[in-house]
Amino acid sequence: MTGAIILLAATALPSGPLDFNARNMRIEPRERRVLLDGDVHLTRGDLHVTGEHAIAEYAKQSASARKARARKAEAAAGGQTVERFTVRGNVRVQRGSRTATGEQGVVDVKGQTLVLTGTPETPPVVRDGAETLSGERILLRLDSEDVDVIRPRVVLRRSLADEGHAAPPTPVKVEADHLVLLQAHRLARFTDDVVLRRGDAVARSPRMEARYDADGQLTTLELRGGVDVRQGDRRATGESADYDAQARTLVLQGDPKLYDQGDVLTGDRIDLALDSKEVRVERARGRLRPEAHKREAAAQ
Amino acid sequence: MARGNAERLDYRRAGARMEAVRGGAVIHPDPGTGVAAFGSVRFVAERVEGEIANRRGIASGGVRVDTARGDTARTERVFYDGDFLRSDVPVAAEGPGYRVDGRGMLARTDGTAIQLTDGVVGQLQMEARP
Repeated sequence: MTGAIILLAATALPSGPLDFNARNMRIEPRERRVLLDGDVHLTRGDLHVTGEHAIAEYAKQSASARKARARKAEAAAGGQTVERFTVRGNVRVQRGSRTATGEQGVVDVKGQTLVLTGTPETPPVVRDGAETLSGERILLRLDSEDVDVIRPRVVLRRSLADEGHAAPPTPVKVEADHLVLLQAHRLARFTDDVVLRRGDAVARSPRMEARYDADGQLTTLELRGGVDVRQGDRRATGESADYDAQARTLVLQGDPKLYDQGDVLTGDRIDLALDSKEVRVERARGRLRPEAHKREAAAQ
Repeated sequence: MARGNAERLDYRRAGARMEAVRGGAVIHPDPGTGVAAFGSVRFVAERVEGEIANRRGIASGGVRVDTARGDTARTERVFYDGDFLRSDVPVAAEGPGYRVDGRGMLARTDGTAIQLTDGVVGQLQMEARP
């Protein structure tokens, strides 16, 4: 998903009026707001937002503007602008091929951001084709198309390099406390309690960066700050780990260690092939207990 | 406070009935009221019929409202009924930061809310990008 999002062309939200239609519109001049109700549709440039209700809040006028208005009444005409609008109820956002849904969407016009939230049962979701990204709170930057997600849940479907692999693609699922997608750098930065799941393999790390190529295909995952990988009875640790999406291998470095049913291996670098479960250790040293693997040998 | 004028005005003391042709009125709202946000409000209509004592009336033949704040609204007819102004025909309005066409209108006479109803289409002016 992150790859799909990163691929989208960045076009800033054009300045100018926001077109709308709805069933009813209520103007509340004292509160400096306009309420739209029923089948609300807001359009600006290529951004389309729909929902059940919307509130457009106007910017406060400065004291100098008020004085100018007092001097010249016609100066007030067209002088107020919407600084924020909030859409509630089955919110749907469409921009290009990307769609997003949530229970509430808040657009900060000056800040050029759209924040989507939902409920624990129906969290906000960004979709691009079959790809989905959900989280507790999704902030879409409308000028750069960068995305900031609190508690993201992502399936890296586009990471599946099929060529040369007999095994069917295995989705890579990522959870974290925070995700920032930097479109210009083709980079997805996950931080705080990153959990990566691929088949029976689970990797945990404080932070991880996912890098993409020009086609939006995942190239590498870089886990940093201490990595703990578990796959069945096997456990590996290290200061860092790099996942090569093409080779489907995870390379542990920085005092890497492998624990496997009594075996303890360390070395300069440990390569884990996630599909075949083969392990390669460079400058290996440690303790092997072959008797612990007799059952595996018999099974083969 | 309100002041008005008309090209022709018929007024019957019995029932306080009034009929005006090409009438206009200007309301200068008291500070702190809902209408005060608009500044003075000017109404112009081709025909106005009403019962002043019952706070009831109809303005028709083209009704236009302008406010000192810069709002303008046009519609074919407006019903006045106590606390509400109502129109059941298309209304076009524009003002600071908005322009809207609605198929009907309901407004509180105290100015706290103006509602365009039955399908609205329009534009909201967005803050200029920094």
